[in-house]
Amino acid sequence: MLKYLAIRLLGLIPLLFLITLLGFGYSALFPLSNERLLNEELTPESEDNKVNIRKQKALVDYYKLNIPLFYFEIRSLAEKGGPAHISSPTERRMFRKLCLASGQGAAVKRFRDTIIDLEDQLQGQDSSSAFLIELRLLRQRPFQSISYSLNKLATISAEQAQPVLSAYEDIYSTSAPWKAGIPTILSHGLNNRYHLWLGSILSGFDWGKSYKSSSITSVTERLGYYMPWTLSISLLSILIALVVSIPLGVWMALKANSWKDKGLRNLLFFLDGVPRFWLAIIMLKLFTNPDFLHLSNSEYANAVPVEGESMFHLILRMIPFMAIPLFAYSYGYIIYLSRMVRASLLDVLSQEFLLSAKVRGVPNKKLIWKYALKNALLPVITVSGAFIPSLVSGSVILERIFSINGMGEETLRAVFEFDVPVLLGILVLSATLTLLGYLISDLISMWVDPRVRFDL
Amino acid sequence: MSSSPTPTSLIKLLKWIWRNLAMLSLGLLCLLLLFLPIIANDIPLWVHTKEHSFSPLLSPTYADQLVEEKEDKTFFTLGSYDWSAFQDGSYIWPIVPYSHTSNTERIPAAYPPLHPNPTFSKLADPPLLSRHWLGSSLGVDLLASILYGSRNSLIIVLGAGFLSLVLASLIGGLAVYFKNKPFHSSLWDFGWIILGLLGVYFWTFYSRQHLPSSLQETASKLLITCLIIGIWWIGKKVFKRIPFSFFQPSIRISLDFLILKLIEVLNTFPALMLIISLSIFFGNDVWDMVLILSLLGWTGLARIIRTEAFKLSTSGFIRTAEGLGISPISIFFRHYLPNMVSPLILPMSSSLKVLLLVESSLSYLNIGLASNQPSLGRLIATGTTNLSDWWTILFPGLTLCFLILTLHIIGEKIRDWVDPFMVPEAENRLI
Repeated sequence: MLKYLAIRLLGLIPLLFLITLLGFGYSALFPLSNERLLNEELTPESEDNKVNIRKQKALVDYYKLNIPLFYFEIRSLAEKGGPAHISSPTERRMFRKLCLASGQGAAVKRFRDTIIDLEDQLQGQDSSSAFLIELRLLRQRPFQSISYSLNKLATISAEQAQPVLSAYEDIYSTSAPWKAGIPTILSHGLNNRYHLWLGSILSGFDWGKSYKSSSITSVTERLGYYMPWTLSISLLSILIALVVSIPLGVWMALKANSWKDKGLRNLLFFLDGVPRFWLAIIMLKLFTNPDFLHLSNSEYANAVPVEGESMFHLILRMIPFMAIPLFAYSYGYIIYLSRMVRASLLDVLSQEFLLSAKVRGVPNKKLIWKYALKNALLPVITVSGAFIPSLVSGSVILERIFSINGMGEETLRAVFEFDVPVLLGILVLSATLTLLGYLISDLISMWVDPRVRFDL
Repeated sequence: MSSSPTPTSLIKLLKWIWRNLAMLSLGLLCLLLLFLPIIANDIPLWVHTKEHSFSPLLSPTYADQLVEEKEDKTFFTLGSYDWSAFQDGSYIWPIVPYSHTSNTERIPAAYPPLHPNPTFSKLADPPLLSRHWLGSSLGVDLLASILYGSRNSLIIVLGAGFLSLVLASLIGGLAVYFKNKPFHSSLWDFGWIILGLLGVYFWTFYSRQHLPSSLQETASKLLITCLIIGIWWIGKKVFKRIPFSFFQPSIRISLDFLILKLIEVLNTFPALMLIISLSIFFGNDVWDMVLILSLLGWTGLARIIRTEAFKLSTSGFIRTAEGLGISPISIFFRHYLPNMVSPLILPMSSSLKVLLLVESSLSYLNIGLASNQPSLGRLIATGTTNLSDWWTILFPGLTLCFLILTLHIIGEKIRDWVDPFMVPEAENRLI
């Protein structure tokens, strides 16, 4: 058993590693994250240019956007020695095309360095000259309009534009476009984003910083802020569901095929067709409407503990806030679990060992609640392993309806704002929990039924 | 003389209708939704005046032309046409004279159910059933939006369900077919395959767009791909002849294992994350949603298909068929497929239910379908903003419940048809 556990736990590591790789690849599909960060907050054409550019550079350094994503990448020979790891996507695209069209990576890098040097030089003298603005625009333009931009620079000041123009001529003096068709592997060494990200997690459990500018920036702190809300309500709702559904299922199994059982089964069948988000809205409308039955408050998030309040009082005070959300959360579980308890208890009740126990004179109550239910709950527990990830990830729609500051809302925000560090944190967390859930349900079914053997 | 209460044919018919209520109602709904443009629309089916007699629904350009010619354009605008031009004529309206886009008001208002439409009541020849039967919200008739919304929902659910079933049976079938035939390949072959894939990626996707424009046409794209595959294949054949002792050790790759791991990894990704990012790539039209939901929904079905097919593959009749040398494809269609229907039908119907719920919740959160498409979830969302418009929440929600229940009942019906000898539920023998 211990050996099995150890091997399974070790087997999780490569899978988690694969998931981090996939997650990083997934985040690379959204260059928009960086673009947004750089363009939305800090347009280079805005009034206080100097401050903005300094801020932009600081942000790029802070989020390490100017270093490569991974250990290596497959590129063409033309890009060898070229300007790598440019943080702005439009600029990166432009210089990559220039590399591929000319085949002279090193010359392109020299061209870019010349532009940046000139920019820095002019920045010190006059930060709002037409030449400098045009020079800065040059790096943001599409590939096709480079020569147009260079012509414009030459008309503004031929003398200042001389080094840039000569560097540009250098690129095409010995052009070799055939190099674009030859693949090479560009190796970046250990100084890449993936390595640093994984290293900081493994060494100091540091998951990076969120792109969102707010009081809480660290990913662990953010998740630590949103997690308790989701976790508390989902754990409570599971508890309520178990407390309600086990007696209900047992009762239905004992009265199997009587009119009571049939009626309840049909009721559960119809209730199963009612979407819980709709039910939640209906209940909110009915019970928190000041014009109708004003029984409860709708804002769960307002029920913040006051200092020095005892746990009992807190719970008492929270009941009106929590009643409707808890009902909406546990509603689906109750239907699912009570049907399941009924079916599995019926399966167990028809087995021989219960008959022999009954013959030996075990009282009925003990027979059902101890002998039969213990066996019948095993599939229920096994299935509950599948609930573990949803305990943490939360239900976005119910969190939206009840205005709970939970993980679902945070995930939605992170996806929409392309907040990659937070997304990666959520992804790895939910992956770990899902895999652990599988493992736990396997272990429980092994513990319950020793005949079950899983291949390693 | 007392007549025995034998069931008459009418009672038999009523009983039959009651037993097949779900089937019949879904069938009727599908029929209704198929002909939706002539059932719920804001354009008259037929206009008859002194000079003209035509169908504006079928020839909208002709109607436009006629409206242009008329000079006195007065108060009445509905949809995109100014029907006041034909005030002297008579119309045949659809049963529901609104569509999901027709905003009949200058200031969008919400009317309770059965409220007459003020614009229509100004008309000399109003449609027969011009009331808002289920009320209206934001100036749009609720009944029409529910009908159009449930059409979208059904298209998405049935389309995505069918596509994910196809995907799942393809992948699960492959897993079972190659379960006992792991790929034996030498290290060299393995490396060569990976090199070939990388080559295809590089020359057809990465560097092609930067190559000279003469190489960028579709024909040359195909030519390049064929060339790569050809070179790759020749290389494979040539290098097979050379006895490299280093590359000889063979490795076994089980496709079944790979597919299981793929499903496991896909399940670990939060679904919301994947749906949103896929909808950024594909778009958020109805058919895009079908594609996205089917790309995410196949994993559960594939697992079931895999286990069921594996159970079947060890059974006697399939082994006999294999021994007789019948082709795998014919075995699949004649033996696997009929035997897989009964274990698959309930998971399938519950996955349809989940798809319906996912679709409506996504559009409730305003991240699923495009906002110009009618959707039940979005209707509910518009209702939540105003506390007094209870009808905007109630009726779309009831429609959702109805759709879910019918799908569920039909699943159970089909299971009963397919598998009449199903083992009945275990009886409670003790108490």
